[in-house]
Amino acid sequence: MSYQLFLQVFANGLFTGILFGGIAVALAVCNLADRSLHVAIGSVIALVAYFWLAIIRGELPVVLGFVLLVGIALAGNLICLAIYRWLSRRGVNAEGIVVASFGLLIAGNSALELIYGTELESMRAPWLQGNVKLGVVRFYYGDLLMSVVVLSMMAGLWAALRFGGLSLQLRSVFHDSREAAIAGVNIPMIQVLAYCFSAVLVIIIALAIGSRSSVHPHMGFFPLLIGIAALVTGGLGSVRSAFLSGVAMGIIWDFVGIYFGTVWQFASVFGILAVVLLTAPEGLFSLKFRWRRKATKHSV
Amino acid sequence: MTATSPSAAEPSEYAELQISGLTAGYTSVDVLRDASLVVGAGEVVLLTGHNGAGKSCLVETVFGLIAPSSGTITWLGEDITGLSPRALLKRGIVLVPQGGGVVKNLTVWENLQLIAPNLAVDRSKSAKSEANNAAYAVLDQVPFLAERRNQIAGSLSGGQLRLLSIARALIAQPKLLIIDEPFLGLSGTSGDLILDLFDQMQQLGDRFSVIVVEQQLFRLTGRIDRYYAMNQGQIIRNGDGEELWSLDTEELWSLS
Repeated sequence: MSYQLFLQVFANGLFTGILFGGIAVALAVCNLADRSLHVAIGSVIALVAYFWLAIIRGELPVVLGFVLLVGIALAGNLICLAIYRWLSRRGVNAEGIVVASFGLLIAGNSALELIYGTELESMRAPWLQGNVKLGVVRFYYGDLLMSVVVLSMMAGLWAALRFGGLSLQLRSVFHDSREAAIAGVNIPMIQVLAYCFSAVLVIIIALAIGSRSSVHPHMGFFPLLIGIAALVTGGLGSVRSAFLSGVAMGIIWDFVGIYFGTVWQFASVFGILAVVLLTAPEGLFSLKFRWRRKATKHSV
Repeated sequence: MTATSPSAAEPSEYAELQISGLTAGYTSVDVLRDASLVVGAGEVVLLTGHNGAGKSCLVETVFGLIAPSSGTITWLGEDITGLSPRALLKRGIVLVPQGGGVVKNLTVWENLQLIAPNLAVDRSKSAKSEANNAAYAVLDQVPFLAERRNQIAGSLSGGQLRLLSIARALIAQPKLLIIDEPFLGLSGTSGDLILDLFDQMQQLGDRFSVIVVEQQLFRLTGRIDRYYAMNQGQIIRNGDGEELWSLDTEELWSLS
């Protein structure tokens, strides 16, 4: 393999990784807010992609189109949250809510299939498919836009968790929502914020996947599986670990595709997941946490 | 000694908190069944009973952590049944739960700060800064916490965690303080520290009402105005503090 190809595959892998990381973060933030696994996000991704197609076909102005897109993504995620909360109030536990979320995924995908059929559709966003060459590496506008949005949102989340009045409230809910509730933290408000944050990520994920491949009712299922794998590999309970393991998986995904063929891509991701589950079942984050605790044991 | 049935907890003029016919549970099974009790202004009320009697379930239901399937909870004449912990905190009701009450990944100071903005009844800056000032005042009052203000709460011992949890309750300037098993798993010294803090709190300003869930009755000798004993989710006996201490050891043992 020439070094040009290596660099191009690495760059592509990095973008794929940021996409996977974005999906993992969208899942992780919801998980931290309400301890559920928002599997139905797969349907929201497909719904947003189809809505984007409708906006393009309706020849709506881009700004209005984006406003509508944000609205549909927020509505999709918040309807799911409302259902999870309704179930939770009726005594359904976290595992039951995950099962319900799978039900929503299947129902959502089936509804999209009934409305739009199973044909693959093109995203029709030529401005996402243009590219620019820097040195020997070619960068696609869609990848660059997706990376800028995902990385900006990560930076925003990092800032929100460290600075400002909301920081403590967010961290307390993310660490221990029961104790946070006892301290009077507005848990429903934090959950709504988390699902809104996740909805914005869903938009960019839907556009990125749609422009890379095609739009179809089950297009959200593939990123969902990768997102769950990255989330578990990083360790439930850490946004940063979910993102980093997503990035690592994306790089491995593209290299495996080039070196061994695309049929090995899923096997490689789930192979890593299996190794992590066997060696550090609580995820790579917990491993790091254990090391940190050992290091500071005598200083506290 | 007067042993009374649950139905004896009739509406009372002096009652600040009134619980009537409360039924609740952690899942579909009811742990608490038709429980009724009253807490008067400034009273220290003991809730005792064997393990699994439903004591924690009762206080968690009062504090809005568990939704009751029937019954009512009234606070100062207002029906507060099913209100969220946040809403109850703003009304001056504070829970120090069993074995916790703090977010272990936050520092001591962050734990104290966490509660402050949630106490303000309005969104004005003055209300929030007043609550924040109360957090600083607690650090002055409990020097032990000031020394450890930047320490992660999870690295504190069980007794220290309990002190932090009770100190945080001080910030809320409670009208009703609910403490669940404050001495559980603590050594005599740690328990004494908690009792000292408890006494300090009682001497501060207006005397507030307290519900204390406890099995180690000897720790609270002379501090109880009234008691309720529970068994299998029901209140089986109640009376005033003097009656409780007049019971012989065997009877006391059977209650807790």
